[in-house]
Amino acid sequence: MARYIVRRVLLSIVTLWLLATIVFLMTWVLPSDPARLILGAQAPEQSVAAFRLRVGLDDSFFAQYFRLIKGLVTFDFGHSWKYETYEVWDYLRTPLAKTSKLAIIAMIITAPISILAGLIAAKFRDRKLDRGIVLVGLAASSIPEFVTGALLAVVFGLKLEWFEPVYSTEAEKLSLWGQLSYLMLPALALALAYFGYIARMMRAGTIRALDSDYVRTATMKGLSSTQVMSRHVLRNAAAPTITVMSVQIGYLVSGIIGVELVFNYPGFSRVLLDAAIDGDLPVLQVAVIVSALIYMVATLMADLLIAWLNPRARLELGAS
Amino acid sequence: MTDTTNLPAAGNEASDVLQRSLTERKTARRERWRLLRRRPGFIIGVVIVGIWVFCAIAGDRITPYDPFTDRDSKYCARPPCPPSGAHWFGTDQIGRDIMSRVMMGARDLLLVAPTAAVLALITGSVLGMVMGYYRGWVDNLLSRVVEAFLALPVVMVGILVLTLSRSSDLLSAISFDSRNVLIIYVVALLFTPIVARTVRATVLGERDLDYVVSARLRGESNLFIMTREILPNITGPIVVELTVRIGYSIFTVATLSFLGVGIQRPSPDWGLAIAESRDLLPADQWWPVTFPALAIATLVVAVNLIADSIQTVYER
Amino acid sequence: MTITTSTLALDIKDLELAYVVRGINRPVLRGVSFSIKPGEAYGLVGESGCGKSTTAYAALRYMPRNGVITGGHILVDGDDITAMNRNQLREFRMHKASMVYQDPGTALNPTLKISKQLVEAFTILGQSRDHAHASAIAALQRVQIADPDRVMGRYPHQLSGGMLQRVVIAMALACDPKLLVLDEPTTGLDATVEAEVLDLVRNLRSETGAAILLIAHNLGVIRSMCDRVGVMYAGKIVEEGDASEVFDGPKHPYTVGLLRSLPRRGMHKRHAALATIPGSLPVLGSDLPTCVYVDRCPIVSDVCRNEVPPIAQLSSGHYTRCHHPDQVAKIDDLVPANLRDAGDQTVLQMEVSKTFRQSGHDVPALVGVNLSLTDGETLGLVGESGSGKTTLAKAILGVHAGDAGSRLTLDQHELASKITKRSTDDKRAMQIIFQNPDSALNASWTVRNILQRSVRKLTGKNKIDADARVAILAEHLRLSPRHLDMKPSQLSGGLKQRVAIARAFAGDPRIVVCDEPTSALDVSVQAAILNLLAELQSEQRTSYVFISHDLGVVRYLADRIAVMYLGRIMEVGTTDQIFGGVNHPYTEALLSAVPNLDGAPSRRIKLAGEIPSPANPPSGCVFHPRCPRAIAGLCETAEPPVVEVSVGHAIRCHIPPAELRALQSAN
Repeated sequence: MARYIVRRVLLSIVTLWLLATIVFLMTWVLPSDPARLILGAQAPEQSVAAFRLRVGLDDSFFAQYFRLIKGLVTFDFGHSWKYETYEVWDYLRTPLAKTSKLAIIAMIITAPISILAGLIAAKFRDRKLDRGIVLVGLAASSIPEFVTGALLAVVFGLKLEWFEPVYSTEAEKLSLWGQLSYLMLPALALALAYFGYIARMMRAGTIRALDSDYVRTATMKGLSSTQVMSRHVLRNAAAPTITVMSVQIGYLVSGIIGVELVFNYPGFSRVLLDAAIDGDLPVLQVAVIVSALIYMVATLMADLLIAWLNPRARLELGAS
Repeated sequence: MTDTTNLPAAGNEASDVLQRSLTERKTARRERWRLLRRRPGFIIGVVIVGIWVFCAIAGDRITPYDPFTDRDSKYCARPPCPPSGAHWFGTDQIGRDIMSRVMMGARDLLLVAPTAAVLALITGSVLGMVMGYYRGWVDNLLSRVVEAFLALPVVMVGILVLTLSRSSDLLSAISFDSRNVLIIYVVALLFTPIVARTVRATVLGERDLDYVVSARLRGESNLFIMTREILPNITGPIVVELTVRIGYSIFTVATLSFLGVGIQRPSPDWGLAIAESRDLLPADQWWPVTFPALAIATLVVAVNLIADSIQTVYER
Repeated sequence: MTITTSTLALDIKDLELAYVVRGINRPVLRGVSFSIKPGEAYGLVGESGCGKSTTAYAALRYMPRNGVITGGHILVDGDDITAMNRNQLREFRMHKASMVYQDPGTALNPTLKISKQLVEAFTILGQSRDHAHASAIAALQRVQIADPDRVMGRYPHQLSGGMLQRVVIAMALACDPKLLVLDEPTTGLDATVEAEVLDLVRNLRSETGAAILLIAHNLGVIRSMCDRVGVMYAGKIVEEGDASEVFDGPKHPYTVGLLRSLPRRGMHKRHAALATIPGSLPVLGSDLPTCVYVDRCPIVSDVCRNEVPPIAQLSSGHYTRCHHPDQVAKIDDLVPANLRDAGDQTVLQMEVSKTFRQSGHDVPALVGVNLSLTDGETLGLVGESGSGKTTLAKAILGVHAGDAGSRLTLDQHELASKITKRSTDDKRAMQIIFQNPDSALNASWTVRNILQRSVRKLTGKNKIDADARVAILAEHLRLSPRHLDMKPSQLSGGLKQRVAIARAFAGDPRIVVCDEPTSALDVSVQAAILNLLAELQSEQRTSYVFISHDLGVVRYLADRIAVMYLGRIMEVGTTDQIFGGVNHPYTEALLSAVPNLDGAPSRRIKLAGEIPSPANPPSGCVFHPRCPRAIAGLCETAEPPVVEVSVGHAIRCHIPPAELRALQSAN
């Protein structure tokens, strides 16, 4: 197991380095003149030149590249270009925390419900209940989060008035409980998207386990269906679900951007979009890399969890 | 549960015989088509997608008003106006008929998203095939790059590339002046590694089968084995991947447009329309957001219903 | 309920079972009746698709999701399990009946340790945790697992197939069942392991007194294990009786066909062709109003087509469902063969070693294999799985290159080690027939395309000539023109294998490697394929390298046999030499592990332990840790010499042949 963990972590580091390189290449190749981009077309030539010198844009390709990699290693990414007094990480930290709060609430709402729904669907396979869950799951996961968010805002915010249709900074003066009225709809929009993926995977994993020879063995031993479920099915059905949950955390970083915008939530997306529009390259680079890092940590944890649950997976992953 | 549990092992010998009797009568393809047509989800999906495709093609020839210019000052003095007999879906902030715009809004999306998916499928299939077939260092290297791409959040990289390309001499030099073409390339680039991973896994499952060994023993070239021996046997997973990918592509393009970096004005694109009118929500003006949102929802659900049916039938 | 039935361990009465396919009932079992007395062992035989496994599972009322019992009763120890509700059924499975499955690798939960799964079998009986743990240890000892504590701490994937099957048996015996159902318990295991598992079941049976229902396609296994047998065909038992009576004096044409299609002891292709059963099994759920065997029967008459055959009682307990049991004896027995003998001109000379690199370690898969092949000769390769048979085949074909220093000489010229470096003529000279035609034939090509491509690629013929050649090939292999336009999935297993053979012969090869070409096929189909291979060889003077785990088949087809163990040739000789006399101790053990079809008791030479990993081969003679005749102090230190026993018969062993002979005739 230890060897597997080391191997897996080393591979992650290689992946991280590669993706940082990809991001750097994109920001290097695409804008013709990053300084002009951020300072605007009207800025005088001297100030553009001064800016280039200040942030090191005149340095060679490799010098700039190594600056980013060094920043990654030391977790010190320098300053924002737009708000030069801010360090990039400080600039990103607060919105990142807000976004995380939203994602965690969504996960808390959705994880138990969708796992249960997947189990129920598998158990009543091909009956009406199953078809219903599958259809809801399909719709929930295929509709973009911002669309779900908009529709939720209209129905539960404007028409039924159960929750606040848009977020307001007023909320931050309230207790977490009080904030829920503001957070509920964006969290729900995310939760619905998770629901589709998790429930579908749980259903598929459970069905595969139910169809397996070892469940047949357990049934023939005389175990009741509840015993078979809890002792033999769950553990085996968990692996694909865990994988999907971890991968979703990554995709959610994308989905959450739309939701935040719909509800005017002051999270990561605002910063990211602003940085993109302003051409604040350091912030942009770090924002993308940090999101990828979250995804990688999530999948790493999931793989370790699966390896712990299923010794055979440990073997396969270690060998590959 | 004992009576409802499937039992593949016990069914094996019988299902073998059954399989034989089925295939004796029909080819697998016809059988799959027959099964598809029996799935209500597939039919519903095809009908809905068909309606949107029709709207996209017919465009302003069938819309009740001109989606771009008509400002209705007779029925609606102070836009946006709520749904009425004249404007079933209401009008937007500047008095344009929302129904006309929603009907027309499918055009760009249905041009951009499926094209991107098809492009990604082609490049991804080639890449995945090479990785899975040659394995070794080629595969190791490319797999790491694919892994890295997979870790990047699609929408974020989309934002990054699409905004930075505004000031790109490079891109304008190779004539990416059309925004939609640029979106196609970006989405295709982002989806290529995902397709490559799927195709690679499928090819890995095929390449060690004896028919491939047999082809080598009669001296076939690698290109022949990849394209003529293996490819026809992995069309199932590739077709499934295409339908799934089209769904995701629509999802992604709509999201990018909503974020303001995708399809641009004056297109009546749905994502764009939601973005432009979401500020009206607190004022209880729900219609400019709701109808484009429902349009996106129906289209993606329909596409996914089709994808899901095809997947079920192929993996049967 | 009468007293007589209540004493039966299993009593199945007129059982009818159907699978519901698209709302239509497709009958699978068409009135199956048989019973097993306590302590008795009953075997069900028949080809795949006859319904024997369905019957086995039905005995514990376990069916596929679409399975329904449409008639009849199943009584176990007097209780009708078809009338039980869910809880009663659970209690019944818990206490009265158990099952052992075909594939022990999947029958156990991969995520749980053996201890957890085995202990569970005792805790559900109401035992406390500690008590159950002690019972589990005892159960493992009972199935002759030497170190139960170690096995308890393992996960299923860490144990070998034979070991897993022991665990499953231990689990099945936990409740001291009245009825033990074994569904192909040794299929997929090596003959040596199979013999051990069967020994174990035999011992436990006399110990526990449980009634046994054994399903196996291997008739030898049934013969050696069962008191009574039922022969199934198309969901019906067509003949039933004492094992010796049924096997020695079959009275149903199907039983006769089954038995005669097997190469029996001492039979060789030169003496006689194997009998075959024409036609194929009726498809599932087809309407069979009269005799189920009517379409394939050699002694069919009008009455068979019009009337359901009555049960013809032959002696007490022996019956057959046939209108003409008296005519069964008239079915032609052996078809004399007219085959040419192998030549003496050497076609292929091989000196091969092959080492794989596996995560930084050298794994020797072939070590100094030195063999030759003459024209028209069949060289049989035998050995347990992992002995290197297939690796040798692939090295010969150039699929993977042998180590430096390996030499392959074909007709006096040296062959390149890799296929890509070989000339078209060399490629054409050597082809292969795989075990599984499903993966060997490209599923998306038509048979015609498959054959045509091989002909054109190997012979360089133009399209018209290639078409003509395909037609000739098809005729040779008895493929009709209709088959040529089908895809492999539309053909039966036997037909698919014919296509694979036709492809191998597309360019008139000098050598064809046959890698277990019949092990995925039913015996009647196997017979036809073996006959065909023998005929083709005789006509075309092709040499075969024939790999098989079935010693009966090898004995029938091979002219010479090489016995492999851990990548080394342990013994090589003519078929008569191998089966007739002095053997390497490993060969001796292999030969003794085969269950006899003629019921003669065989003396088993037991092998200790399992095949060692090739990555870490034992010192000295690689066989010494398992060898019952190992000489202490010698075999574990020194590599044994290759000793020539007689002309063409060589043994790699420290024990002199004369001494081996004495030892082997002594038991």
